[in-house]
Amino acid sequence: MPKNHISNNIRTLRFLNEELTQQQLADKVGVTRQTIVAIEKAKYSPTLELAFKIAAVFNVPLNEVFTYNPDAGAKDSKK
Amino acid sequence: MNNQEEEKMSYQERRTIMSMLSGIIIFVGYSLYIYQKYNDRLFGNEIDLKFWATAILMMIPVSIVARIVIHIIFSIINEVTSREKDPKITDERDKLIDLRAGRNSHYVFGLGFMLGMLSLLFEGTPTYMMFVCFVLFGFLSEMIEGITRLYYYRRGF
Repeated sequence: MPKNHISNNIRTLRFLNEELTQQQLADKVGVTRQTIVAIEKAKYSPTLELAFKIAAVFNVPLNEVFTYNPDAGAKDSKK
Repeated sequence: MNNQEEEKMSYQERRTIMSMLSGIIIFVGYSLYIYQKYNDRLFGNEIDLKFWATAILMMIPVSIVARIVIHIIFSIINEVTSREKDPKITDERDKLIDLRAGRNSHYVFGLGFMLGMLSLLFEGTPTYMMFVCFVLFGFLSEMIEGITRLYYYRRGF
């Protein structure tokens, strides 16, 4: 699987926000549930707009939802 | 429970597989029908170019009607078995996958078009080879589009 440099806390934040389901979050930000699943599993990096929308749903700054890990790619390329 | 749900094939993946299968059925079925019924006009000593063009163009409405019917049947079966309704929206990820799948599909069809033209340059190669290239690579490009979609939906990017 291609290594994604961006990790996220969406699953944790969903549980902390009254156990929001993936479908409910998807409806709030205007995407399909499969896209939320892909983002949670770090299979897809959302656009900046979608990232801000997700952060706005949880009412937290963007860097509390998404974290950039440059080492993730470096470790992967060494293998 | 949640992990199990995530490992399941998504609606988009099921739809892509269904689309590929219907593409194979329509292509093979129509080609066999035309080949068996009009073999002489397609590959005989005097090739009927007008007939080739008609056979290829007729494939478009046949394919559209068959796909609509298959899509309706798929939607009904999908809703009954998975209790999941068709997603009404096409989001940014779907659009990005569409673009990549379309790009790969165009590469393959472009290659087929070039090979079709090249076949005309070689002496001794029958004219119908050009049409065979168009039809074959048209089908292959559709398959590549489906495979690309499956790849990106399953593995991510």
